Amino acid sequence: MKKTNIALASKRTAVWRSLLLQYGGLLLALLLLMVAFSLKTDHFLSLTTLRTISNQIPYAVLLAVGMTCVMIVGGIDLSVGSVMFVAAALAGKLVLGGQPLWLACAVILLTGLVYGAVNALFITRLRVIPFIVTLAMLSILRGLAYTFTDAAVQNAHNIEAFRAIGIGFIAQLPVVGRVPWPVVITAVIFAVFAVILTRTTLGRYIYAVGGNPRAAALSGVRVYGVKTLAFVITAVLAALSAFILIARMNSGQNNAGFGFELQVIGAVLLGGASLAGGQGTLVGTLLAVLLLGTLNNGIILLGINSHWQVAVNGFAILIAVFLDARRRRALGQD
Amino acid sequence: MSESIQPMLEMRGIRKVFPGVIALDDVDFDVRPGEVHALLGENGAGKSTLIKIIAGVYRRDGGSMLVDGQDVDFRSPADALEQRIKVVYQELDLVDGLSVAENVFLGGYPKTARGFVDFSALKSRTRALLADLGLEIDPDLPVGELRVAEQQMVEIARALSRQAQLIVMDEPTSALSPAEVDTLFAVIARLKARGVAIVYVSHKLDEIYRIADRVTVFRDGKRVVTEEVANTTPRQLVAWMVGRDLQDLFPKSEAHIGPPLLVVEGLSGSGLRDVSFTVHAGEVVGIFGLMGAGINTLGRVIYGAARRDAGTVTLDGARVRPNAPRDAIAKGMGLLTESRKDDGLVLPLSVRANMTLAALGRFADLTWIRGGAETRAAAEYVDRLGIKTPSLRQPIRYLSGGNQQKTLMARWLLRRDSLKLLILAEPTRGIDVGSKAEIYRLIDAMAQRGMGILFMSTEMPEILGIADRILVMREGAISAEFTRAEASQERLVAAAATTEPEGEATLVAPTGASA
Repeated sequence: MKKTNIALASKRTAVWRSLLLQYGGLLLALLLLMVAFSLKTDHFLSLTTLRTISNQIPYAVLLAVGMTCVMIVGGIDLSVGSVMFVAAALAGKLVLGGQPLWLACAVILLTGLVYGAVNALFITRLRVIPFIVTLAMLSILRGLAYTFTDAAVQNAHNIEAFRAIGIGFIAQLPVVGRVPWPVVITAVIFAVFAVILTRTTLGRYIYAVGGNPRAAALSGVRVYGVKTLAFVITAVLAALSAFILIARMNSGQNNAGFGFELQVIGAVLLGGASLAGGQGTLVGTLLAVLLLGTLNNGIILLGINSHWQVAVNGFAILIAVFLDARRRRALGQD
Repeated sequence: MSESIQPMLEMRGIRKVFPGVIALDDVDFDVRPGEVHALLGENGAGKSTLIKIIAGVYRRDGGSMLVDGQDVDFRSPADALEQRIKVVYQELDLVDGLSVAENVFLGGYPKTARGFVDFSALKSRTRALLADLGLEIDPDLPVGELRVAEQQMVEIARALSRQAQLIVMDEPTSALSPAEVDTLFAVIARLKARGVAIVYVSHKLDEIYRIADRVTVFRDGKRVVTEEVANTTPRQLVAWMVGRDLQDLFPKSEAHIGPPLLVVEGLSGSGLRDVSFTVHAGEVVGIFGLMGAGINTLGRVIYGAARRDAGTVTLDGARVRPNAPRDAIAKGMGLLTESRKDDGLVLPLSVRANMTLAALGRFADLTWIRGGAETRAAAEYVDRLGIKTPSLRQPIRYLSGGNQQKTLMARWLLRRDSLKLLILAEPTRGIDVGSKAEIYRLIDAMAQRGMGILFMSTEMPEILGIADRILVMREGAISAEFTRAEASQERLVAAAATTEPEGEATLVAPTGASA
């Protein structure tokens, strides 16, 4: 009986300690970067910067939320950028064709849904590894969309409803100023998935399936179902982020989502997920996205050649993989 | 007297700390040339950590290490090899696709004058090494085609090819037949004669008395004692290991056999041949067989984790669908497989999450997990089963084998409302004596509550100790049935032995095709 009490009593402090261990590094890096950038530039700590970041972060976060689910479940989705592109092209076409906005939105989300299900079908029923399936899909989708749009930029000028979502804001708050819709939508989705992953049976099964699919199956978990759901979630969120992207740009760019998959995977890995599955948290992912976003922004503010941004993401992946490998070696599970 | 001999390896005040655990605390250990030094201790006592420090896998956090009187500091397994120290793990690190000879000299092939691999020298030297050990294995055969026992010999030959002066063997007999164990011990005798020092890790006391000169017992990361084996008794060894006297290893209460619970008829598939039997409520049915006889497969097929081609499984009057673990669970079954790491544990997750995985629905409203209820239930079972863990949030990978196994048992016990039959495939494999006794006690307690238990094992003493009825399997079929009173070691062996020569049962137990 004594032990039970100990187990319960030590919980609080243990939670804080493990949080610090888990996220301390990321948090520290983020703070250091912010301090460094604000010392180096005049504008970094301004509201404009905040707004710029808050404009750029939502797509990344939406994609990263999905990618975190997929990577916890032991998969990877290289095709999110292409899904975004297809969704953006489709939405552009529909809206330009005079269809109502809600219809475009519904079609886009449905596309994501179907697409995620197709991915999952190959992965679960045909047992092709996710890397290969989604790599193939990356090319197929982008190729299809190029064909379908003749690789043209589709401008949807002056469609009010679009603008309202893309650059509109929900509230005018003191100090912070405008709170844009994309930020609100993203925050809500982030919160929902954070709760799903940590507080629901589905979330627990996602971790279990990623950690050991055979053990999960023998414990009665619907392994295929959970995997399918993770890939569908990712694709739908990618489609949603495409919708927000074109709403802001007010156009269907033909390079929409290009290379996003690597940025997102880099961030998720940096946030503590493992290529082996079973690990990762949305808080870690968010911190990593913020870190990379801040870094990219700083690069621009410092006037450094912006192509460095691309390289920075590569470095992030390397660092993340290095940390993961080191952690695994420390645990003796090579 | 023997104090004057310089130890081949000497370790003083070794300390190793892992997150939340002191794995080794001020440990002294030494081994002399030509000596077999046994390492004994429960799982988690620190044996494997010590081996890994010797092997250069882990670096010690404190203490000193001397090889032939010289200070050493291993940063990698290569450093240990350099000092001619070789560890033969349970999971052998051989390359299946390469031949025996290529494996033996892996990393240091003999070369011709032109710098190519000298295959004829490679072969003849391999043959010579194996002959030295008294073995006849074709150097050209791919290692993947050898039996485990032979692969082990290849690993030992490989150590000799590097002129190893210390060989560490980590539970080398856990997958061997009695005849193969004899061969291994003959090889060990030859190694001794050559002056090779041997560290021998095992749970099996009889083996220690057969081959070891000295024994060191570990408990909770500390060295309890180092003693000449001749000066010890098995009872003493167990007491040192467990830290108390273990009066009764097999608690067995009077069984209250109820109505038939599990009825299996004409089961075939995955190597099984027409298996039929019944388990009653409150009954412990033991399934005994040699490696490869299909005992573990039987559990998997009943549960639906391995393919069933024909036959019926009925639990408490309800038909269980083939190849559908979810249906088996819904009807009241639970399965503990023989391979904890492969399909039992979810290593990255916490003790709590591992424990509640199969019963999560109990703690959830729709999909929302009531954290408090889950934690309380997990804490209750940590208590009840005496699982040693610093907290419920501890990742299960840090627990010892025995505690991991108890956690997995709790996974099914948490389904107590619906659990009727528990299938346990070698639940005590690789587990220390103390945990074994606790698991036997649990099994007895569950049967007392009217649950049916199907217990597979390749170890006779435990089958004889806890089963009410024993079925013996041979080549995928049931070859004999004994009541508790009828059963004896001799009878079991006779019924289990294949008609072919010893140890030739090659029926490979297929692992479950689920996931």
